[in-house]
Amino acid sequence: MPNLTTEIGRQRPISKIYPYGMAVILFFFFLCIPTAGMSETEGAEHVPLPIDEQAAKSTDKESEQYSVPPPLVYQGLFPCQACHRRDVRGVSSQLEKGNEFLGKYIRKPDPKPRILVKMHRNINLRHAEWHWCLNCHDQDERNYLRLITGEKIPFEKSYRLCGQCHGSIYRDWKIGIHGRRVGNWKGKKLYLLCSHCHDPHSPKFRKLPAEDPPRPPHYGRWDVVEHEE
Amino acid sequence: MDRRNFIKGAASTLAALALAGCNEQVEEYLQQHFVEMSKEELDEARERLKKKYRQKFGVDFKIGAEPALPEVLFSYGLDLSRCIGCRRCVYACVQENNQSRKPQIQWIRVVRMENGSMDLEESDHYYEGGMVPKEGYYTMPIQCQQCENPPCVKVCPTKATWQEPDGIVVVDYNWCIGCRYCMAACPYWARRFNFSEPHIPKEEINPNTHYLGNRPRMRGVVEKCTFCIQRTRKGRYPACVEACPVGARKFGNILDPDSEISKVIETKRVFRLKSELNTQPKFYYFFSI
Repeated sequence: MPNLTTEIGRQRPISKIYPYGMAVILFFFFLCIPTAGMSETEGAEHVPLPIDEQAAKSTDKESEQYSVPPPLVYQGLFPCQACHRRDVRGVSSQLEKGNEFLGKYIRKPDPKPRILVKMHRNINLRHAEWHWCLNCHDQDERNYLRLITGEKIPFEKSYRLCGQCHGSIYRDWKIGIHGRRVGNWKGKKLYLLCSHCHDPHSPKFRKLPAEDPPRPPHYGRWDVVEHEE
Repeated sequence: MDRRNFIKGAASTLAALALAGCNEQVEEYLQQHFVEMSKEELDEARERLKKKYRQKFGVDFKIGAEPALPEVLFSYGLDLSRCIGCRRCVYACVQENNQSRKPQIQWIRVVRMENGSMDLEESDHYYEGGMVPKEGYYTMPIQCQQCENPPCVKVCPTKATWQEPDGIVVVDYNWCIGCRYCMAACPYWARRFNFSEPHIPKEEINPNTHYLGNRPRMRGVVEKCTFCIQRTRKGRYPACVEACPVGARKFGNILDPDSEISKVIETKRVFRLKSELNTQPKFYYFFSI
């Protein structure tokens, strides 16, 4: 919370200064954001809580107990906000006013479903019939995912997102029937996330190559027979 | 030769053998059954084994002898609707449990059957690799079912195999005489015999072992799955559970109502292989779809 109030508090006077000077300040300000975004774990708190506050809190508590290995996205292009800069109110209003300097560096997110041609072309989106990035990814803070309630969740808790539609699988996953676990049957264990096994963009499980079959038994000494082969 | 002379001769031969430096072998030969050994005797036996393995493999072994954990009964679940028959579990088991590479010994056997069939006589476990799952077939890994009423234990003439308090059926390899009655008695083809001296490459050896589990075996003894006794008695998952890429394998304490296996039995359709034989396996196959 304090983070947000300071940001808003700082921007109000700034927005009254000349737009050009403000743009320069903001440009340097945004340069620091990617690192700030990574260290913020309480990002979910910035968001207005969903309709049923109490219910949301209880699910959050429940989800605390699953320890998961780092999500695969952290090995890839993360943090997403290195490119998708966080959209703060001051900036979007400047963009609406048509500030060209800012427009060069910060693109306004386009919420219209379309086929991506410039970036992320390697993503093959085959998940449900009606699919679009912003169904799951948060529009303003791309380092987070977004539940249908509007709550932002980090990638470590992506199972809550998947569980919105796949309820019975989510139920099984929570008690350990669905999915993989490694570590200890008694004591600390790691729950693999849905996205460790299923590609969230095309979740159908791919075929795997099978290992070699066992050698059929044969008469005689194994070493002699092998020599003949 | 009269009786007195025979005894004298035998005694002197034994003494000569001991003096000739074979006393380790003699001691091993005269060693007690695992459950009858005192703690000192067991430690001696483990030291002997460590020395022997050091010579053979050039690695320092850890040979544990952890007893069963209290209030624990191990049980296993296998999700047939998830298994794709990739045999990752088979090779994880071979690696973890020091199974012979030449001749080949594998404790897990993955059988493939046509959809709708449950006829093990018609099953194929030599199916070729390639991309799996194959349409029209399903696969079913079979390993030791750790029966509550194990026929293999009943038939053993030397009591070299028995059931531990946590439900694992184990073998004392030093007491096994290699008669293979247990192999004939087991309805799940879960036991393997070392027909010749097992060979394991030195770099593939797993030095973390248990006396009743994955310590390297010798020619002429029977071996079997022990639910990775060296791992599970320390609280870890068995190797096959961690290796399964589709998460079809579940493991836990059936006496704990919150364990994964208890939840499987509570919420899914389960069956036990050949349950009509009253072997009461602790290995549950289930369907999650």
